[in-house]
Amino acid sequence: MLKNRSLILTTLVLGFLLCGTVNLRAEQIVVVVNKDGPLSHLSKGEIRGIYLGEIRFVGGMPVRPIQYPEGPEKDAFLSNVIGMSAKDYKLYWVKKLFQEGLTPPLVKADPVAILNAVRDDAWGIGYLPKEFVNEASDIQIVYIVPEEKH
Amino acid sequence: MCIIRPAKVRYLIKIQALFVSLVILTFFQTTPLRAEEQDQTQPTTQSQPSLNDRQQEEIDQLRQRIQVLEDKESERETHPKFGMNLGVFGDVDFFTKNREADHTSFSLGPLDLYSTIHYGPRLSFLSEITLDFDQPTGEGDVEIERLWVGYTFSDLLTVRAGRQHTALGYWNNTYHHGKLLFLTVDRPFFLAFEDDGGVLPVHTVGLEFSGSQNLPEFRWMYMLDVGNGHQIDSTTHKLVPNVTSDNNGSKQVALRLSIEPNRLRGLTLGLFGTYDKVGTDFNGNINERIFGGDLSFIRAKVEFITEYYRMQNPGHQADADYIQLGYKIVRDITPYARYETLKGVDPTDPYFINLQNSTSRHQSIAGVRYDIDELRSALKFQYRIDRKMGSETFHVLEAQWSFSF
Repeated sequence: MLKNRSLILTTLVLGFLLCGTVNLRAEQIVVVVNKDGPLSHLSKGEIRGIYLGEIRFVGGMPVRPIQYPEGPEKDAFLSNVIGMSAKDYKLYWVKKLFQEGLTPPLVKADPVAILNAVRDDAWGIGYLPKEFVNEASDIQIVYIVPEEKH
Repeated sequence: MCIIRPAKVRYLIKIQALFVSLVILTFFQTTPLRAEEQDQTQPTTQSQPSLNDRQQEEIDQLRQRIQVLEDKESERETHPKFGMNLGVFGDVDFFTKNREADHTSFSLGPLDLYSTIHYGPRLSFLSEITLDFDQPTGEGDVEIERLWVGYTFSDLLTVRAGRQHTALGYWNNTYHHGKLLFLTVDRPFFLAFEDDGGVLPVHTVGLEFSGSQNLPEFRWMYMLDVGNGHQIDSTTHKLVPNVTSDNNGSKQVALRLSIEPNRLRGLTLGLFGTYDKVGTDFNGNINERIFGGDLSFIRAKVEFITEYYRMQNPGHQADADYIQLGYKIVRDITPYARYETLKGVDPTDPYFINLQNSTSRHQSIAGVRYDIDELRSALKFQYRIDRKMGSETFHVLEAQWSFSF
């Protein structure tokens, strides 16, 4: 009995400490395209198709999707838009490369690089935390990844 | 009189210890916050700008390194080098006596080398070469399994020229020679490659037209092959794809149409057919028609595939099918089962009479796959019952360690 109470107390203390150290606020992820480009009316299904290599051309020109390296932003995007875990997505592209010779979306290391790439390319598409988009007038948000599933 | 038991004393000591720990840890947690608050309210000290400078310097250095990496990445993208995306599949096997081996043995599977590359978004190349040992001579054998150059006009049209896997069914166009990608130890026996005694023309040299379209309700895809047909070697009794020249003027044509409903991702339904004028030494050219359907449902935990083939030539027909199910019960362990059959083979069928696998055969397989690393390596253990009409039944235990790097 005493052992159990001690265990409960220890758990409560550790829980309190952890809550104090973990940042519970998740960043909102948005999918962005060039405002002057032809991708300004993409649906979630089309974004999914682009990141799966199923849709490679829009208006006769090649679409250039850009992705994050491993991390919470990528996990949130993949789970909500693609419906896959990061591991399953990697496996999907290993198979795609072997079967069709297709290569996965280009990886950019940080949101500024993604923003610049999309800004410079009318057929570019990327995802990044919303806070980076606010000041960029030549970028258009085409999809907001729902926050509750982060 | 109040008696304090030793257990209670220990309990009180524990509570006190936890309370003290809590106070200490809370203090350490809040200390940086206090420091930040102080920074905001008090004038900046002399040491603070130097710290900020150092941090800024480190940030600038990191930015520069990122830029260098990005430049290299862009360079690779626009000017790819030969040999990029070089991958290897391999496997080491163990099996008891079976139809193909007289003794319990270890076996080295083929070394599969593949390489793909893109020059821009439209031009692409793929090569897949296997190196293995011929049975029973043990001599080395090199074979170009797939080699093509492709140009993509749009999502609806990619044209490829070279040697590729014929547009027949799901398995033949999904797994190719990478055994790590198979849930089981091997392909269904009737889908084996031509030089392994398979009864289907699974390779074609010629042109392939393919494309797909995403619609609101589903995605549809097509593959159309036009290429050299096959002939049957009368000494080895194996199908031979005509790689360098055809043995007759007729060309093999194969078409597969498939759809993937958006409401049930992972489900694929396909229909396919091929016509091939197969050359033989004793029966002339056989007008062989093969058609069928496939259904697959592949998700993170489930793999279900079934395919049906009808092989037909004037006056004769035979059927082949398999059904395979695997379900990942825990993170890395997937038990599986497969039943595969070739049935209704007519002893006078000129197509089968010239082939090695010329009689009806059934196989039942049950096994388990353990993914050491889903992308790199897997162990498979299976039990197989192999029944062939007019021949001995084999009960075979098999193990395979497959890998990719």
